[in-house]
Amino acid sequence: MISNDEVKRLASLARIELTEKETETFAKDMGAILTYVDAVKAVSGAEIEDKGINLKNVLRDDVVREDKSYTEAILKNAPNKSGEYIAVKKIIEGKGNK
Amino acid sequence: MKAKEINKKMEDKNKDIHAFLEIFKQPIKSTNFSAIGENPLKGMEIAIKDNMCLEGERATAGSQILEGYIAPYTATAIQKLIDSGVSIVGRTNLDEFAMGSSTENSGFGPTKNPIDTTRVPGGSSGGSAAAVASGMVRVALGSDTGGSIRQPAAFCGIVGMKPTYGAVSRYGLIALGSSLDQIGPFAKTVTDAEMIFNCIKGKDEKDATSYYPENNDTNLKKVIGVPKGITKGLEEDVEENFNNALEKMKSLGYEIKEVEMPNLSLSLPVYYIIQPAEASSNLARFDGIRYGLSVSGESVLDEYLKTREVGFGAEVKRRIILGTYVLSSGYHDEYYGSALRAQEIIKNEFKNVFKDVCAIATPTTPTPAFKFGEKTGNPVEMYLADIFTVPANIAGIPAISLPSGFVNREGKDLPLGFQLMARDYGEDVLFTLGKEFLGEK
Repeated sequence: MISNDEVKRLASLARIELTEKETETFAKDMGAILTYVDAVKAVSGAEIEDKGINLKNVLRDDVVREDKSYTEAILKNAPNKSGEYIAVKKIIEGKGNK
Repeated sequence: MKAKEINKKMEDKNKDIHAFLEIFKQPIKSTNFSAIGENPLKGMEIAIKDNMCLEGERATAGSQILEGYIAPYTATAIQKLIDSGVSIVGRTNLDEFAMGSSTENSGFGPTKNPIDTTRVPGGSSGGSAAAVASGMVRVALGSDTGGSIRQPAAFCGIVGMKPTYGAVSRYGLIALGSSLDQIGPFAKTVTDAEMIFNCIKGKDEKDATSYYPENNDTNLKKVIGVPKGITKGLEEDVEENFNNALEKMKSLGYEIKEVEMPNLSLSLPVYYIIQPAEASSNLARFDGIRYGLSVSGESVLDEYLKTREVGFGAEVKRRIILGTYVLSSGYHDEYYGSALRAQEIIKNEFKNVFKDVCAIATPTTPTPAFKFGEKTGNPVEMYLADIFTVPANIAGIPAISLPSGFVNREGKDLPLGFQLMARDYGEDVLFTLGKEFLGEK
């Protein structure tokens, strides 16, 4: 039901590298899982859509509480840092800049 | 006994069971301990599932991808317990990111069921359940997204409770499915579970979904509903165990009434759409850049791919990919949209039934604890272990698993659980019925 190529495409969207064996296993597993969850497609839910979901937002004011109280602890967890920043490899590569 | 001796005794026991990923050298308690007034929780030892943050300590969520991560703050539920005087003795094992029903998906090896070490303790909070069942601690915290407290409680023969969605703050709980996750207690008695719940419940500014009403309608109709056909397909002795539990409730003065819940069976399919969808989004944060494992690569993208390939286990990858699929363009409404509509139908079905009953009863699990490796090759088989527990998460309602005796498998008596579900914020109903069922004063 789900091809190996489809699993590869999804894995790439989800930023996970998969081995060939994993790709094959997941394609098989997903077929079985999707067959199982297919039951929900039979739900029309027309009467639900009209009413909407009965929830409301709970909001609070956006206020600054404690300045830098977690900075050190958070930075300590970062694999790479530069001063008070978390360091990452360059994301945008300009022309002739390689 | 001195703290050191207790610690040694726990370490020894842990070698057999592997309930804990870490037993702290010194239990962690309030720095202001002597100032804490009289409180029944004061001095109580408690274990916490290792997907909750405790400042300055490791938090792994059972995953290699959180290698070296030190929590920068403390989860609200844990803070409330510390403020009431409890001692946190250690971090317990779980299926990676709470994805599983057996702890076999832990990145640090499985936990064994203390009643029969050839069998799983259930999951995902298997470590917490085993720690309480084996007597290593009196109580423990777990988290329940689709049955992760109640199912291991049933497998290990103890009490496990999932509160109403939002009743306990999720601040500091590493997220699986944010619209389903709830923190709750494991204990040997309902009285202990109630004490823990009363301590950790309530509105928390740091979790916008937290809420608990001050006054609750405790008008108790002494009627228990049993969904029609719920025992269909169960083994004879499991069905008999459930019927005996119902008989017991009858003898305590409760009327047992069959209720029609034709959409209940949609709960597990709905769950395996909503939960992977939310998980795929929640787990995007594990990228090797901000914390935890980081595998270096040629580019940022390459680092993401490599870190997540090495850091996540198979079940986590499977669910992230499944979640990505049900949310991807072209399938979004077909799966995720349909699942949300089906969820509303299930919620309404529960609401209608609760007009006439104070609780709904089912077995907690369709079988007693299974053997290691029995279901690892077939994800759908493993998912079906949660068939009776998932509906409460989909409806957002509270539910409790109570030990209900044993069935014999291969010469061993294995425990089963009796599950009661109540309407939103009906925890008091569950505690009242639970104490009556177990004969607690």
